[in-house]
Amino acid sequence: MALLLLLGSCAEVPTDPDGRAIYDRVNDPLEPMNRSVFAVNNFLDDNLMVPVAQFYRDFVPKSLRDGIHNFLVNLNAPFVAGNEILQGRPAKAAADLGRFVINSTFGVAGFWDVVADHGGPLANDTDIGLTFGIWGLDAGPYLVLPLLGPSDPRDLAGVVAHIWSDPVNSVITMQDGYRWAVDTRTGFTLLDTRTQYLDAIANLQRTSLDYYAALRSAYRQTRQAGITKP
Amino acid sequence: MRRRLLVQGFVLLLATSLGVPGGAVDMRLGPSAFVADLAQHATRIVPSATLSAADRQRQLEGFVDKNFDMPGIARFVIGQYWNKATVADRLAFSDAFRNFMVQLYAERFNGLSGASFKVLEERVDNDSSIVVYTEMTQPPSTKSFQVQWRVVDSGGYRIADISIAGISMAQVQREDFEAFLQQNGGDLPDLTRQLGAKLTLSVAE
Repeated sequence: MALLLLLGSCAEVPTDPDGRAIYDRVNDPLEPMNRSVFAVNNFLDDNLMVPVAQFYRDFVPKSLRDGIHNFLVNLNAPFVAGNEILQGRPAKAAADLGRFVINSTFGVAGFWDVVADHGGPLANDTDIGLTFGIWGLDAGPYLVLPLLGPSDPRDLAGVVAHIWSDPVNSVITMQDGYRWAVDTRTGFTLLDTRTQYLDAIANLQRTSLDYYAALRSAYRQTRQAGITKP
Repeated sequence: MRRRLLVQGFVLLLATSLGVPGGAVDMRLGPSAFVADLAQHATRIVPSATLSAADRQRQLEGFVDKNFDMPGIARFVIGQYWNKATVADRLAFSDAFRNFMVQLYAERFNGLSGASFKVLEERVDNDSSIVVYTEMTQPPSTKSFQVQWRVVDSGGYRIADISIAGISMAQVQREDFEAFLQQNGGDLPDLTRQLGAKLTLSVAE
């Protein structure tokens, strides 16, 4: 049954050479299913995430939002550094761990990015999906995941691996009764990220004729940039 | 997390196809100087009390026509559909696309007020275009963004593409337009009409 559903969700393979070339290049064989999931995600984004993010941006003081953003970036630093080691980038890992130590202490648990404020290195960002990419694993076909949005099998594996390997979350969940802290972190990370990109995503949506295809392109290019970045 | 990367990841999308290192080129001349001048000029094209809307529109159109390879970009963004189109359809599309891009650049330039650009390096690309890497800062933010400018020499330097956060504008538009055309039987006049409608909507806003 699942196989039948999957087959029914596959895009029709064009027979003309030009159409086939585009089909191969975009590598989105599950496009009909992806577009359906995308429509649901979009509805939820428009009616839930965007209003909440706009409220957060409009009514929460910028200094507080910046502090929360810095705190979340700092919490992510050990995970980023671990990935940088796996990617063969020890200098970046050392910089991010150094930032973590200094910002966690002098920056009051990371609410202030004292390292960057004093001309030090800015935070890097990476994840396990990018680590897999640097190792040479192919991304595979484009996927749109319910609630999570654009992805591919490589990044999906990265998301699953992240859930099990995040050092800060691992430490928190070792203590009984602190699961709420992990959930709160996840919630604020979603809110912070969506707020950061309110304008950029709205612009893409407004200026594209096929928002699905435009976002697919932007997602893939950004992931590729994350892999080839030195 | 991925959304953050969507806009944050930067710079090296084009790196795999790059050949000559930037240090081999005198950046006081040529594409780097062209981009530095262009970027600074763009930051000054902002709404002004002393400039009427019509004059500003004329200024923008002149700026885009002079500095951007609009015929080349128009051709690129519809890919294989360009060769299938009639001459009249190509002309109509090129015209609508140029007007659409003028509007788009106008909005982008508005957001550049106070920004400054620093040229980092330039590299020759395989197909004889040159990519100029710049770093943009916009006070009061201390963070910088890297912006890549693909420059072609078509009887004078012109911009063929701009990449921000690792995202090529021309590539996004190509995939956007190709998807639209695929779903609409390759109807280029319809795409041209839709661009016009987007433009009207944008101006009305």
